[in-house]
Amino acid sequence: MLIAVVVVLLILVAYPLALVLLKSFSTGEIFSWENYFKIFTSRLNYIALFNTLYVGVAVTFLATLIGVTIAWLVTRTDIVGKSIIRNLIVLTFITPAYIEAIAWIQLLGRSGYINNLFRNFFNMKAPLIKLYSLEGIIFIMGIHLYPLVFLATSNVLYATDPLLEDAATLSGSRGFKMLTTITLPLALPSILSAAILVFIQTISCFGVAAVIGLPAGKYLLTTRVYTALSHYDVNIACAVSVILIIFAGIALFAYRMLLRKKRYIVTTSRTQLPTPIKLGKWKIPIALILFVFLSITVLLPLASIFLSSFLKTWGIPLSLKNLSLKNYGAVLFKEAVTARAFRNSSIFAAVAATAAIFIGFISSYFSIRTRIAGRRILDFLVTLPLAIPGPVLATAMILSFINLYNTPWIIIIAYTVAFAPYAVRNVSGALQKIDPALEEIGWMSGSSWIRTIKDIIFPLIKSGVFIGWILVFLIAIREIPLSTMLYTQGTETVGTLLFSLGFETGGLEVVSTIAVIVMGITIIGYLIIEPLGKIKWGD
Amino acid sequence: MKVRLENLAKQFGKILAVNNLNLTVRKNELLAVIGPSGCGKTTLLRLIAGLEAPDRGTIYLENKILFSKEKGIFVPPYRRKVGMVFQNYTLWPHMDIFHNIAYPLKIKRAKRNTVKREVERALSLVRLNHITKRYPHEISGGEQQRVALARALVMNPEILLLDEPLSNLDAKLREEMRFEIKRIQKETKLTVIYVTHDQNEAMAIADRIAVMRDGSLIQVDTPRKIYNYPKTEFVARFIGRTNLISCQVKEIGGKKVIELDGVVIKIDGIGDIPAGKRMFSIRPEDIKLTRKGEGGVGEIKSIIYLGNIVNYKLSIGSTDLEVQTTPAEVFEVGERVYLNICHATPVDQCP
Ligand SMILES: Nc1ncnc2c1ncn2[C@@H]1O[C@H](COP(=O)(O)OP(=O)(O)OP(=O)(O)O)[C@@H](O)[C@H]1O
Ligand SMILES: [Mg+2]
Repeated sequence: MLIAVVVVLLILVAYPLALVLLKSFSTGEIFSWENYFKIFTSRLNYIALFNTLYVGVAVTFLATLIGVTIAWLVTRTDIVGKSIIRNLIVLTFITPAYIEAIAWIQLLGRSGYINNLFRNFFNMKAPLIKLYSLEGIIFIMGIHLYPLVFLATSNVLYATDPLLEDAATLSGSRGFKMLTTITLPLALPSILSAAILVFIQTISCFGVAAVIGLPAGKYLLTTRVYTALSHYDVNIACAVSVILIIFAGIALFAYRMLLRKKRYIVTTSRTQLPTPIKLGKWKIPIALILFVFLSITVLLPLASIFLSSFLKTWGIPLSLKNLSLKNYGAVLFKEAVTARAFRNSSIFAAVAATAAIFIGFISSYFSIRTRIAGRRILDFLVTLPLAIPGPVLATAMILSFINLYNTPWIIIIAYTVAFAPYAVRNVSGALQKIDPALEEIGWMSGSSWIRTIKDIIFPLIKSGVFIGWILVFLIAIREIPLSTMLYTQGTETVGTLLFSLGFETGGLEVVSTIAVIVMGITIIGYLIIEPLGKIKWGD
Repeated sequence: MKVRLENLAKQFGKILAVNNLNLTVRKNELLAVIGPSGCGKTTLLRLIAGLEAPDRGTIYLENKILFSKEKGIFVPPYRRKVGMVFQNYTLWPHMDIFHNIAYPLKIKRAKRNTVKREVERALSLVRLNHITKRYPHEISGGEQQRVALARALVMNPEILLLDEPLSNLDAKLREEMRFEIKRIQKETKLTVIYVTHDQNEAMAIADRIAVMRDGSLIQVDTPRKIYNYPKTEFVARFIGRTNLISCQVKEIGGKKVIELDGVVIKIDGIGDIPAGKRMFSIRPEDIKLTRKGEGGVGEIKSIIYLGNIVNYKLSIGSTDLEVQTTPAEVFEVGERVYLNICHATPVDQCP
């Protein structure tokens, strides 16, 4: 069993990546550094490299700042509306970044709502804010990813023993001093690891980077892989991919090291929090600022998407007579392409989620429950794709499975490989909680390996498996870079539609309609799995 | 430093954690507070430390008011000159031992050599000098305990609050640390309030013991008095093992006797007590057994022989008694023996 899965993963993960590496050193037949040389000499490429680092660092910084600040306010002060704040942040997080980008285009783009408002008001020519820029990407990704830091930080702040802070109080420490010498340092490993995840996710981001960056000619490495490949410049695409993997790989390695260090953190089973700090006269202003911030970053974009989805065509004013349900009819029933895309996405996502869970289960089972040699390779292979941005994985898939290119299978395989890590995290989380003795009792009562798993283990990890399945499904159903780079006519997905329509001003109302449907599915899915247990978002 | 608490009360929701509590802790005294889980011991310490504000009452340190609801005074924790050691040490895991201990000094912006000197002084008080560079998770439980103590001592507190400081240690280490704490208290002339649920610990090191129940103190006395003269059934039961019996006190021939299920037992040392029905606490070792004699007779039901002592269960009528004797004379199960009670304390029944 173990060997079979390892072989499958070698074919699906290791072989494609090896091909990418090989191609990155070839210009024809022989081995050469020329592609890398080109990257550091051609402006387009090295600018993309710098842009990626700039955006990655800036987003990480921004997300950490916002996430930690709000987490501290929610867990350590008497600010009002804590659960509303939390729910809004979760809402931000489950909204796909690309949909947020579309919303901001609707708000701040050349003919965006807010820009129009200002133009009419102040008679200005230039747009209010230059959305199509690296800063635009930073803003959108920062807003999208700070919840990761928020969740990680508030979890650890909830869990740290309040007595640690009491001890500091008795030592004469308080306020800002307490924050910087005790509270934050205690949470630091968690904050740092969340920050690293943010960095990885940022440099891997494709949809936002493309729809905001490409119109302004601003490339990141991910979009550079995409354009290089569209120009059949396979070797360059591979070399850029390798560089991207190196960055993400280093970050992932740092993350792993941190997780190991995290163990020293003293947590308590007491649910009691330290006495909240009284904000006093700042209570109302701070709460107000926070709610304005959340309204602008969460509610406004979603409102924009929602309203636009009813617009007859993009560009006409938002008034009652211009609204109709026709887009929904068209998207779901009339237009063959969109209806097909929804059907395809559902099927691909479901098949991939099932496969990912299967692989995830085998891999977690062996790495948690056994000492078999090879379990580490398995774990490594399964989680490796966390460090592989979509466009890179797509390139690897094209190189290795060109025979499947015209079939849905290449997309399904890509989804499975890309999202298996999420399945692993959720399944292994559940598996870790089971006492091995239960399983041993099964063995001793003479049941076979399969029976033991079916009768004893599976019922106990059911909810972890279910959470993992739904999570993979939700991520896959609106996946963009893999779909966009691997689809052909007939295998369009929701992601390919969102992506291609996002560039056309004329398509913004239809994109909104699709986005609203995607959001609906996402929120329903989230509400189903949320009460079942801890959802592991890839950390 | 003398601490005085007057009518102190603290409520959490519906729970009265501390309920109208009055207590005076004398200068240089080690007072042990003992009581069942949830009776408010930790809360009491937190109120004194200023980590929590009482709902009612007054806290004095000498003649200075630390807290008064009526006068609206609340001296913050860092001005109270109290050091505290928590149940599970709570050392800061991100600082090494030196910095854990130095932290209070650094907050006070002490000079670098002062910090070094004071940390060394605190470390030598707890007899740890060699581990300053290590982190809390790299040292043993006993060492963590000492570090926590050193951290509390480094501030030169006038009052040291210890919240079950030894409960996470194994029995042997616990005994060792008891005497360390006692020694440190003598050396530093500190006033110490020591919360524990281990009565042996309290008996061993306390100058006085305060027994707490449901947020109030029931009895505050020296260990000997608490043991020999418990005022209530609860105290008698909580400290040490005892027989609690309800019986008639009678006077026969100028001597006090008690009558239990129709059996008359000779009893000494109950002092002046009016005849009538009363509850007594009789320690197992205060009952003497003899083969020949006079007075009440009981039957031995079971024996546990422990080498240096022998425990018996015996019955008089329908009452069971526990007796502890030296192994000088060992009785057999079923044997009928004469009882002689040399000390009994009348106790009040608890509601
Ligand atoms: N912050 C709090 N919020 C609510 N209830 C509390 C709080 N702190 C203490 N309590 C309650 O007050 C009562 C007294 O608690 P306290 O911790 O003082 O007991 P304790 O005597 O120290 O018990 P233990 O021996 O178990 O440590 C308990 O019922 C407890 O549940
Ligand atoms: Mg306690």
